[in-house]
Amino acid sequence: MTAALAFFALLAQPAPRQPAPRQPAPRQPTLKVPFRLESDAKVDRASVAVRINGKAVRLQRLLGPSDGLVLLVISDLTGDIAAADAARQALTAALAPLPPTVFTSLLRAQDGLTALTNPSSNRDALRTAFDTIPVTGYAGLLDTLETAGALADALSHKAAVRTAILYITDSLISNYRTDYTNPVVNSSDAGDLSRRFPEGLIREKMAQLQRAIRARHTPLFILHLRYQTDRLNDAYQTGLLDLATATAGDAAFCRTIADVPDNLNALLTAAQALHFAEVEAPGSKAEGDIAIDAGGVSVKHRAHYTRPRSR
Amino acid sequence: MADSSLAGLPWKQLDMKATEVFCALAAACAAFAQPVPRPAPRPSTPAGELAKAADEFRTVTRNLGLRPDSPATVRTTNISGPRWHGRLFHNIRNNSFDAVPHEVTQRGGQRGLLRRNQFGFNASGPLPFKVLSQPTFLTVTFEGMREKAGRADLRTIPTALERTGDWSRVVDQAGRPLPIFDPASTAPNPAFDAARPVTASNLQFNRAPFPGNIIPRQQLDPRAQQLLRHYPAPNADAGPFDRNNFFAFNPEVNSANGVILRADQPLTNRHRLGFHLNYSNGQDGVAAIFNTPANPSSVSRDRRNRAGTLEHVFTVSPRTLNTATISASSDQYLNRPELDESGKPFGSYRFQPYLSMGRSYPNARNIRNVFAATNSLGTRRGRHHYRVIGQLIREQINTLYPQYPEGRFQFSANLTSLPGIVNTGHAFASFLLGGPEYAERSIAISPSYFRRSRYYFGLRDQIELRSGLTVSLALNIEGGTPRVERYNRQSTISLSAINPVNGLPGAMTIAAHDGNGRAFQPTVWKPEPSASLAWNLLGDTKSVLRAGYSRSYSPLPMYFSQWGTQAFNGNPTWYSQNPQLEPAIWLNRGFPPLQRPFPDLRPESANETTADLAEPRGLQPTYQSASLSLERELPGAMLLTIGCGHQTGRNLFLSNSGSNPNHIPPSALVHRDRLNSESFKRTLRPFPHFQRFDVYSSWPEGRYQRDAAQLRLEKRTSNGLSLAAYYEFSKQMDNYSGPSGVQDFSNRQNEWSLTSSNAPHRVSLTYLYELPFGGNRALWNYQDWRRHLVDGWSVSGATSVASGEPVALRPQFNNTGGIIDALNVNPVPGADPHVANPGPNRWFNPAAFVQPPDFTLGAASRTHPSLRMPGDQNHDLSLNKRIGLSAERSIEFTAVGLNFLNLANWTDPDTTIGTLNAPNVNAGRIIGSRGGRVIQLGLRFSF
Repeated sequence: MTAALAFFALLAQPAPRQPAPRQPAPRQPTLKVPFRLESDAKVDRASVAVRINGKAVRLQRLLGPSDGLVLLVISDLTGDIAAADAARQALTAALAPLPPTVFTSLLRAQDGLTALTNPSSNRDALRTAFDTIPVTGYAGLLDTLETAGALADALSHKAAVRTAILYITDSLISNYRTDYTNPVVNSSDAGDLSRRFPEGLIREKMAQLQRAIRARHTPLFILHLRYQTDRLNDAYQTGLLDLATATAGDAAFCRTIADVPDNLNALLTAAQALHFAEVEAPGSKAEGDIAIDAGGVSVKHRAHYTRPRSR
Repeated sequence: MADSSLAGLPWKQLDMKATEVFCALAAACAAFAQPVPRPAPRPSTPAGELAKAADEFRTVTRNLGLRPDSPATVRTTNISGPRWHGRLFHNIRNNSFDAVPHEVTQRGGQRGLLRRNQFGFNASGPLPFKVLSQPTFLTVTFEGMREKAGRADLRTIPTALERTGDWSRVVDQAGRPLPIFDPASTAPNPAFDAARPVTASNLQFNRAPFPGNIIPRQQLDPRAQQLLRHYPAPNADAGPFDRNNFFAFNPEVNSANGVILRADQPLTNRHRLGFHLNYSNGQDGVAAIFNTPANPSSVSRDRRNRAGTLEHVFTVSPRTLNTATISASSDQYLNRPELDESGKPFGSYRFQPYLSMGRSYPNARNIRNVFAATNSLGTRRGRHHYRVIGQLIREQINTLYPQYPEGRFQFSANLTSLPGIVNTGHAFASFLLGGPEYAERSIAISPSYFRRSRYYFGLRDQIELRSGLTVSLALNIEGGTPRVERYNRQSTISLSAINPVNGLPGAMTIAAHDGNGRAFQPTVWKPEPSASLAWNLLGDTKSVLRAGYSRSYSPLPMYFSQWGTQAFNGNPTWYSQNPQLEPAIWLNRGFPPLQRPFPDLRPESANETTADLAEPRGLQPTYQSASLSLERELPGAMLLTIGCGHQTGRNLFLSNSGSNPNHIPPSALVHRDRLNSESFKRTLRPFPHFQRFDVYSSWPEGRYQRDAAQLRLEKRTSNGLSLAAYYEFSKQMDNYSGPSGVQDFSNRQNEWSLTSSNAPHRVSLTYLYELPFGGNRALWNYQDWRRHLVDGWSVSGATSVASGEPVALRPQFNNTGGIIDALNVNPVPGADPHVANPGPNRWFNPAAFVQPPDFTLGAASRTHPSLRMPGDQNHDLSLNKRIGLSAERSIEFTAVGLNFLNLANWTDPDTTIGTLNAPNVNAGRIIGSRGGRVIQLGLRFSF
């Protein structure tokens, strides 16, 4: 009897899935365009139109808040124990209510990017790992940005998920191992004009990164725990804001410890609300401008792209 | 697989009733008999896609070497890890790029002088080999500089006729003939009425003018004539009269080579070592005012600076961090003497208002070494963030610093004046006769090796009292030992020791002698509390209220000076017994021989000199400040900050012009002309056997108060533009500052006036604009070769504007018998000091002020409460063009324009006020301006 039931049960199973017909290799590479709505409106595939260099392109797929999100949380904490602890507490509180469609992973930016937890909906693992990160070393945000972007892009190329990077950093420009501050070498040189505009090196680095991240599509969010107003850090933090907004992400700068939870929640809310429009990239041009019409809803989106040299 | 197929169900759930089984079998058979529809592709679920992404994450992070379990060969080449980066740069300046400085064109010059090259490199990255188990990271920066720059100077020197003794054409500040009197003809006036003030009609001494106002050649001092061979002739005529008649535009040569080396060595995940080394050699040149041994400008010097730091960072736990630092620095300065034909430095000869000859500190060698050990422990406990800091600092000064090894000779008009009558005689005429009013000489027998230690212990607690309210409390304990000398070669005046000569208090005392300690001041410990709060008003994180209070102390600085070693390194001084009648010494006779050789440790060894006096109580400057500010985020990525602050300071260290513990009170002015007699004046001094005390910027009598309000607006990038604007209004008062010094040492309240450097309005603006053309910008978004031309342009600017500092007026003459160092002017009742349209011809109304009568104090304040000097403005601009060569290589071209608008700033007006009968015709006038556009071109290759 049991054997008969098993036999029939096997018969009742759906036929093994046929291997999906091999899709013809896309003639045009896919371009993922992240964007955020500036209101609570909802959009669907029919209401979104994307133009590349002024020409309408076909929307292949639209991922929205109901789709999966892989959030790479990157710790870049180098010295402010109080701010770091506030960030820990805020992150613990902010991750708990995230839906299971948000996978989070923790990485560390010091001495090269290091993965500490795999993406999952298990917040405890991330919280535990975050709790044990030492708050020391040299700042790593600028050094790891490209790698983090490449990593996140790889995930969204492999799977139909949205990706976002969230840096939690207390880094000042002077915390970098690489010299961006152009410190005075000869203190007696009273006629030195080369430091009259001391932010030159920072701006140059930011320009390099701006160029590099145009080839990435994952939005970048930055929670900076120490707002500074001196000229060098002003240039640095302005650069971070530029980098984040260029990717459809955002940056928030905490002027007090009390700002940390609110700013973190705002960034996470923005990350969850991300849409990814997948379109065919135009063939010939290596660079281009992107425009998105979301049915009249105001959007923040990645405005430029550069075709990656290789994946 | 988590799909809904039966295969995923446990078999026991198939334990059904027979009828149900039958029905199922029937259905299955029926289904089996029918053709199977081709299943439609199932949409993937978010969970499934997320799982795929997680798998990819593992794969990619492993392959990129981002995981601890990555293969070792991959992990060591973590692509996000540190790599070698750096830059090469060269900046040049040349006067052919620049505008001719205004001060040069005004004197008829056609070109400036500027040659400057600044060059260097920076490289940082991991060492290719491992010293320890973890890689070592290195940063090396080199910078070199070579500069030759012209410096302009407009001064007044004697005319050729004056040098020969012919004063027939010399006029005073009012343009009237200036009479020169023959001191050799001095005789008491038998008709003098001592009950009446000395006036032209009631002279105490008769003295005849030189015939024709010409000093006979035979009366000219031969030594003075010899010295004059090194004094250049006038070459300009800026006026008025023969003033401002020497214009110098000579090169200053500077050079520097410096290296910064930083190494970072992680030991384990919890331990890290850092090493920092600064090395710089150079020459700090000073442009000569004239190219003879008598050049009065400062001395060029060679410089060597070294600094090293070793730091250990220990991560005790994620919430506890300990940082230990050991540092050492050494700064060495060696003056380059310029010698005359006899192989000696030139002495210093001063005869205001003319430019002096010779310089101070022609020979000097100074070294400052500082060693410090610091430990800082920070930990987070609940809502508290504690920080504990301990620091030990050891300072060394090794100095050989004779100020006037060949002597200083101070001449005044007194010797060639009609005794008691101002606006007669001239200091340079007194020089021609070889009669200084005062002379001194520095005798440095041996270097001094000063030492002291400082200790610092601090505890800070940052508390999150509740959401949105953070309070910081701190208490620092700062202590320090007083200065000692390695071989106990220190001396001072004990104000309580009895002087054996006259039995009065005040005698030389020696360190480590006669029961004295090695130092003259106590070890001092001071508590420094501070508190601050940051409060998100009403729970709104867009607004932050900040408030702070702090109290701090400042230890007595250790200077490059051999002050305080008077018994070992002599500094004999000679004062005239009556400057109107006789000089301190005669130039052609040289210094009188010393009565005793140095060291001279006798209690009376400093009698009749300017004696070095150390403040014995160890009082330290005390500063208090309170501040309040409100920050508010505004739309458009803007942040507005409004704040105010209040600062006070007392016991500030003052110099000899601000403090004189042996002063004669102004009430003694009633004695009038008797004060010219040294024998009379000494009866009025608190310590009559000393001329005065040299407190060397260390006497704690100063006080100040500053109130300020600020407004700051910052705007982060929007459409390529970011800017920060700052405005401050301030008012600062004190009882000591000014170009001349304090009038009344005995009544500090009378000295309370605007700080001489207080500019009440200050505005600054910095901005950056990424020009709107090129790749991914609104204009000229070329994709072809033209993009290299139009991409990457930006403009940065910095503008500062400040209102003028308070006008500090001074009377032309100071006829107070030498007991008032800095005399104020008198206001003229009813006269408005302001003018309608201030300009170079008339910046203020000099008729509103007048020279105070002889032997009276000036009634005006030290600095005027409403008159201001001309303001100052500067506009700098930088144009940058970046060319990206590859992802990590770029070239940047920079053109910096300092004062790019080529605006001139007025020089200060003449603030000397003459007498009613002979007013200074130049008072309130501005005779020039300064500044000029300077361009620097730079090229930087970054990799």
